[in-house]
Amino acid sequence: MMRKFKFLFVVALLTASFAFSGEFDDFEKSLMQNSEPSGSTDSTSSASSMDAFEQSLISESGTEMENIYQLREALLEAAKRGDTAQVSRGIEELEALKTEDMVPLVDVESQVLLIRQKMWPQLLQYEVKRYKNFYNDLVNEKARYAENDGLMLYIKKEISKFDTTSALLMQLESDIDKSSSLSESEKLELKILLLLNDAYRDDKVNERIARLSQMFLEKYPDHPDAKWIENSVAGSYFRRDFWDLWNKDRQEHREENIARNFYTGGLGFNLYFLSGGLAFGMDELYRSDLFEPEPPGIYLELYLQIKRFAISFELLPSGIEGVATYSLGLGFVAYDSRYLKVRPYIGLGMPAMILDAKQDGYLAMPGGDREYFQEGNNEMYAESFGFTLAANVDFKFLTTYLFSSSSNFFSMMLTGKFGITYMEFDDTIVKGSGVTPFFALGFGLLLW
Amino acid sequence: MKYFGLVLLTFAALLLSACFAPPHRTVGMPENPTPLDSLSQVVFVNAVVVPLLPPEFKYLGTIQTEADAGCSDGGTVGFLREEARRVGANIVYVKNAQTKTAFLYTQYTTSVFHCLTLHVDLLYAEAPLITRWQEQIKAAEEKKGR
Repeated sequence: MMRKFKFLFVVALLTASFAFSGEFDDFEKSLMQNSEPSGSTDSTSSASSMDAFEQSLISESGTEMENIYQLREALLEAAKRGDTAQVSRGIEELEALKTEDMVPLVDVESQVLLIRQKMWPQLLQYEVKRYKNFYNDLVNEKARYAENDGLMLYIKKEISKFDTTSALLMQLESDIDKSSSLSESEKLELKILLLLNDAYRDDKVNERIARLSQMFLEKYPDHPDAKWIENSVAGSYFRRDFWDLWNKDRQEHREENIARNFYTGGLGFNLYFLSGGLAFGMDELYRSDLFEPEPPGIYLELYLQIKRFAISFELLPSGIEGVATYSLGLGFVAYDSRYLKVRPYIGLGMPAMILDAKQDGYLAMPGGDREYFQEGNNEMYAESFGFTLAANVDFKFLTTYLFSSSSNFFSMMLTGKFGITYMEFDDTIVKGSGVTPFFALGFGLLLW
Repeated sequence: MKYFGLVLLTFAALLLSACFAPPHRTVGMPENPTPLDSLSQVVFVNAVVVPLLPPEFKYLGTIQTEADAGCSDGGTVGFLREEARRVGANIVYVKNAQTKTAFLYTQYTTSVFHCLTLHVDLLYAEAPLITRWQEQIKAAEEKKGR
């Protein structure tokens, strides 16, 4: 029983001449059951379809089957004698009799015979032919197989000598390397094709197929089989590591993906460290003999861009020392590119300033009241209105993918803001109106 | 009875989730694909059984599906079939099939999902064996329809 299991296992391992059933339900079921592939039409699936008695009837019938069994018998004798020429001829003769309804010799039988006789050039020829015709060879589900004869018993016995725990090539590699009948390119090609028997069962095998194929293509780019090896044989193995493939693809298409995101939107945050400007019409804005301004020191902006439109909330600098504007803006992305982005906008806001008292004193309030203030006290004065026209110019000096996304990015920017604000102050001690052109330079982050 | 509403909600969520595409990542998909002819069948090919690609084929991308709460094996396979059809592939070449675990945490329970995750290449190819597979699928569908 164990031997039968071993035989079935090795046959399944070695044989690739499956007429695979692509029927969705069967395959899904096999996936869910984690089972070994089914649906083969090789000797495994048909081994029990005919007993020895039926077999003997066929072989005695004088039909085509009789001829096939005679050829198989001759092939067996040649194999036992070690007559390689006869083995080669026998395989060819039986192969020639193969039809969609009749399989005189299954792949595993040919392979085992050629391997055991160490007929490496013939094995290479056989494997190349077999795999090149893989998608052309058709075998019907109810095809008849030549079996239950001496050759099958012999093959079974030979198969039992293989080590089922290691890949087929591992057991043959040193013999192939020693072979003087194969050129270096042929040795390499044979190794690749023999590894296909164990492909997709073991990651190491897949990796080796890819590595050997790469080596083959580098060493023998003009070999007649190079294109076939590159596309059909090794193509899917070159794409075996999805994450590696995905990362390479992301890097290769980075610029395209970035370009696809222009004018699409994002969330940005800018901090301005350097600012300045001019002021017109606000020379006497506050009592500079009593108060001195306390500038915020840092200005910022948070904006949300949807398509080309942006809503921003910001603390804007001005050309007057100590005056900053809390502003809500509506912008439009006029230009966006790999490195540069220009976003003009209009803003409505509230200019404000914080003033420190230079000395103790009283402040006259409307209605005749007085308010006492002490030296060092500071307060914000902000009963005012501001209207801003400005443009942000961002230089995206670094853009990378946002985490594992292929369509979202993170950019670091040098950002500049240039604009003009009209403001009116109508507070107790800050009063006046005017225009202030300004600029601010800083650093920004953008998720887009 | 206390948890009846929760059970109902979870059940509804799972039922709905089966209708959506599983989480997945793609590589090499065409930007302007030509969908597969509606009469053509999409064939799932197990790479373990068929370890090489057809002699001539058009590569149309690679997909890796991922585990997620509420996953269903049928949903994953169905999604891949639709994706193949969308990009014009008649072969879903399955290179790796694994069962991975996803968790759904709620206030009262933790649900564990064993999800089928697949790593596939999408291809378009014409060959006698592929036609045979397509015929087999068509015949099976017709048989089911009867």
